Amino acid sequence: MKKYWAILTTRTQEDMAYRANYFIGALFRFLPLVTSIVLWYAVFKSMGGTHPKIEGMSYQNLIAYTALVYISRGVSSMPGMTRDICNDIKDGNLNRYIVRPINYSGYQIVYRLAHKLVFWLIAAVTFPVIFFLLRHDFTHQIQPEEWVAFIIALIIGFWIGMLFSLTIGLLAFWFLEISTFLYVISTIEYFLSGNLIPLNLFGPKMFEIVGKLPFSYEAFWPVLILLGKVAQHQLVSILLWGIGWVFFFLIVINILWFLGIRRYSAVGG
Amino acid sequence: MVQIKQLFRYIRVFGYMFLNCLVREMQFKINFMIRLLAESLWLFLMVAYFLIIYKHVHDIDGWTKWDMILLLGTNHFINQIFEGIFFENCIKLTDNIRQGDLDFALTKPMNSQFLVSVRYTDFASIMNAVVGLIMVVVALHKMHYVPTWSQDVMYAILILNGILIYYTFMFSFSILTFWMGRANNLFDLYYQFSTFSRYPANIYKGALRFILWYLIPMLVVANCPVDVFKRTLSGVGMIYGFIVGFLFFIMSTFFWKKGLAHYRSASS
Repeated sequence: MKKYWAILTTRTQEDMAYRANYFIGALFRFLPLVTSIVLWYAVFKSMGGTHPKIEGMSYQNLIAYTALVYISRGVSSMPGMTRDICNDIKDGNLNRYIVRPINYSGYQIVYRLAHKLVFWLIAAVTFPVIFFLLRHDFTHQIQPEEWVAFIIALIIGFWIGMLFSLTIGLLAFWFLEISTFLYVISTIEYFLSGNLIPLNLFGPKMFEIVGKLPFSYEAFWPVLILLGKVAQHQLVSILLWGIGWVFFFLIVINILWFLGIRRYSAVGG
Repeated sequence: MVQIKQLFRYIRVFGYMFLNCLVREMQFKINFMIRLLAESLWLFLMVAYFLIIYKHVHDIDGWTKWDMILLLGTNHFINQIFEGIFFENCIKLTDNIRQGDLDFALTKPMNSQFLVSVRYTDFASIMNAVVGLIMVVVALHKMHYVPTWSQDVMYAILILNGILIYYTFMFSFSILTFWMGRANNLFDLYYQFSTFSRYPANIYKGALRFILWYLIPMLVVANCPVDVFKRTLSGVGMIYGFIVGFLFFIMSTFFWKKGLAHYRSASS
């Protein structure tokens, strides 16, 4: 445990060295929120009627969704993780980790945890400001069981984001140059996790499918739970399905690692 | 006469640099094809995004589905032409300024701003611009709209203005490196800016609209050309559109000269 603690603290310090860079990024990040609010306002005004709704979502719901999605994305997104793993495999840097008494996947997980820690230290300043400005759009009184389900869904989202990135990264054992492929995958992941638009707006038939995919836990489900749009009796089955995906990826990663390490050519030495 | 001769000289030099990049790109054909597809992906997702919204609503503040496709296509075309010709050069320029590697451009008997701005062409982006153009044609066809040739010319000129606006912003950000030493983070703003320009201008209200129209004229970029086809562009709006792109370009040359005074060479 102590060795992973060492990784965590050094990585956190490394990130804090570029805190100005981090703060600029943290501020720009919210600009798309402005366009979303403007667009949804225009959409709902054009719909007419007294309380127009889209698939059960009111204007306030959609604004709250767009803002809250920053939380679940902040937990589940692993920027640069697949690329780092691919480079480690391609350039032979993996050697460093194999000869040490640590698990490479374990190392990656702790490394990303450190990133998250720094991210949330800064988010603790910026997020409350945004949520305060939008306080009138949070219309739902959140129930205790919804808080619990939200936290669990966030944790599931974190693990799915992490394990999916790890899975894709390990493909580098077989394919050496996959940077474009990574871009395609991460863009599709971004869309299907509900970052751009809530998945239930896709229409009932499409939602049947995209709501079951692992990506939906990275952004959509935690937020939908917090908006009170998930019935109580559905909470457990949704969370269990997500946990199922986590175990699925754990198995896949172990198989990939088992097969991949035998192909690994350890270039560089 | 001398000016025209000069102009042809610049076009010829641009042609050589263009061909040079094409040859390099074609050495990796498969990679080029994959990048071509990948670059269109974001556009397809944006179209999907709006198609989902339009499943629930007939129009957004007077903008129908095909109006929106027209805007998306126009914006994509402008973005991709800008990215294809200038974006990579702007990023390379920051490195060259920081490392003092600008001498190669400054010592040549040509306009240095021209050389640093268009040296490298990204063909995947240029090809992708065609996708945007196809969207524009399809949208116009679906709207049963046949533009007059004068509208076409106006549309083309306003698109050129849009590209110049993007160019000036990004080029100016690069030039800030002369003073700041490092300004890479500002390039992220490009993606944020282009988010603003791909939505209809009339959904922005109040102060935000003022800023996006006059201070950071992102609404001029794609909305003005589209308004030509929608016949909603006023005479004043059109003149403003022309002037703003031109003014921005003049500004960029001014910044370039100011910045060069701070340049420290390290490569000679």
